[in-house]
Formats: sequence, structure tokens, C-alpha cells
Amino acid sequence: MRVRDRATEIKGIFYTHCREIIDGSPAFKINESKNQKNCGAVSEKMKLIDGSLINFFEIIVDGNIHEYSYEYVRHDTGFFFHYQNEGIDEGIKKPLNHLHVGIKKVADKKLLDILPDELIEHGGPHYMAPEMKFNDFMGMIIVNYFDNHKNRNRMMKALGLL
Amino acid sequence: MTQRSKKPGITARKNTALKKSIKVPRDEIPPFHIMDKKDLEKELSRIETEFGMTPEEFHKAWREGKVHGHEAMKLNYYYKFYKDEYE
Repeated sequence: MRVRDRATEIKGIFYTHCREIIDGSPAFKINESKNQKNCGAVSEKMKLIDGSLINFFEIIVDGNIHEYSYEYVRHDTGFFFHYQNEGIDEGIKKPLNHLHVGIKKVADKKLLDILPDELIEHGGPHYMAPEMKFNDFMGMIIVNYFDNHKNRNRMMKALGLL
Repeated sequence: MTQRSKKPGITARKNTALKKSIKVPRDEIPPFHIMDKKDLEKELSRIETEFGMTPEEFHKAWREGKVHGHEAMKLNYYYKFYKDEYE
């Protein structure tokens, strides 16, 4: 599959299924390699209607999702969770598919002062995680932060999660 | 042990095949932004301000596991992509 086909797929998830919770109209940035067929990347930063953010990045190699970074950030508290595959496998110390959870360094200073280092952005373990699918990642956001949205069930159904 | 390949983004693992595309409505959707050389140069210029390093230092720091996170992963990819495609 071409890089832009994957970008179309991701746009479909947002514009067809999750339009009601997006603030703005993300266009999605694409890199396409001229030297290697079906290799490149798709990225976007999306703001949701409650002010939270989704950072999306995928590296496509030979038509497959080879590496990914899906990050969700709460603007109000600085809380984030971040599923990632950077193409690095260091066993249990840094599993290929892993999760970061904590508070961003840009959060309130008083809060950061009382938190242990391992709860501050990337100070903690690389938690072993399943290979994350973007549909599942979006579903997690919906059930945890948009659970009372009028289109909650429709969005979950469209994502194949209900 | 860390496994990396000289080819950008290639590691020894099973690939995940993409599933069938989802149908997308054509209206109300902005076109993709295809990044060109200038876009990449603009992105790479953020390395200095965000990480306080030259792109080369940053790439080395990435390989050594000294920089982390979503932006670092993305910028490191752009660095390698730029080298591969334009140099």
C-alpha cells in the first residue's frame, strides 16, 4: 500500500468516524520516498474539542506500518499516554512496542515539583505493550474522555470496537 | 541487544500489513500536505531550538538513546529521510 493510501485511511478514521470530536481540519503531512517504493511517513498534530491533543506519526516501509508513535496529551493536567514502536528492540528494558505514561514537562511547575521523576515525561519505564492499532488508540480516548458524547457509540462502532 | 538497520526505519521484526482502506468522503477534507525539501529543512531547523543540538549531534544522541519522545522520533526520521533523499 502506498503512503498516501495509509494517510487516506487515517483521514477516514477522523473525518468519517470521529469528526464530532476534532477541532479544526487536520490535513496530514506526508513524506514519500522517491528512492524506495511505498516508503515514507504520515504525521499530524490534532486538537480535540476539549483542548486535548493527539500526536500521530507512522513510518511506512514497503507498504507496511513499520514504526509508529501515537500520543495523547491532556492540556489541563499535562497527563499523557504514548504508545510507540521506534524500531528498537532492547528486550524487557525497552520492548519494541511500548507505552509511556506520565506528566509532560510543560505541566504546572508546582505539580512537577512534587512528582517523582519516573512520573515526569519519559522518566519512567518503557512499559511493554501490545502492538497498538490506531483504531484501538482512538477508542481508548473516546471511552475515557468522550464517554458521554452523543455519538460515542456510533464512533466506537465505526472504529470496529463495539 | 538493540537491533538497527542501516536502512531508515528497518528493523528485524515482522511487518504489520495494512488492512483494507476505509472509505473517505471527498468533501470537507483538506488535501494532504506533501512535504518537500523546504518543509523538511524547516522541520530540521527546530532541532536546534527544541533540543539545543545540531542535526548531526541530535541524530547521534537519538542513536545513543539520549533523546526521547514523539517529536524526537519524528525529527530523527526527517533527518534520515533528508539525507537519503536529498544528499
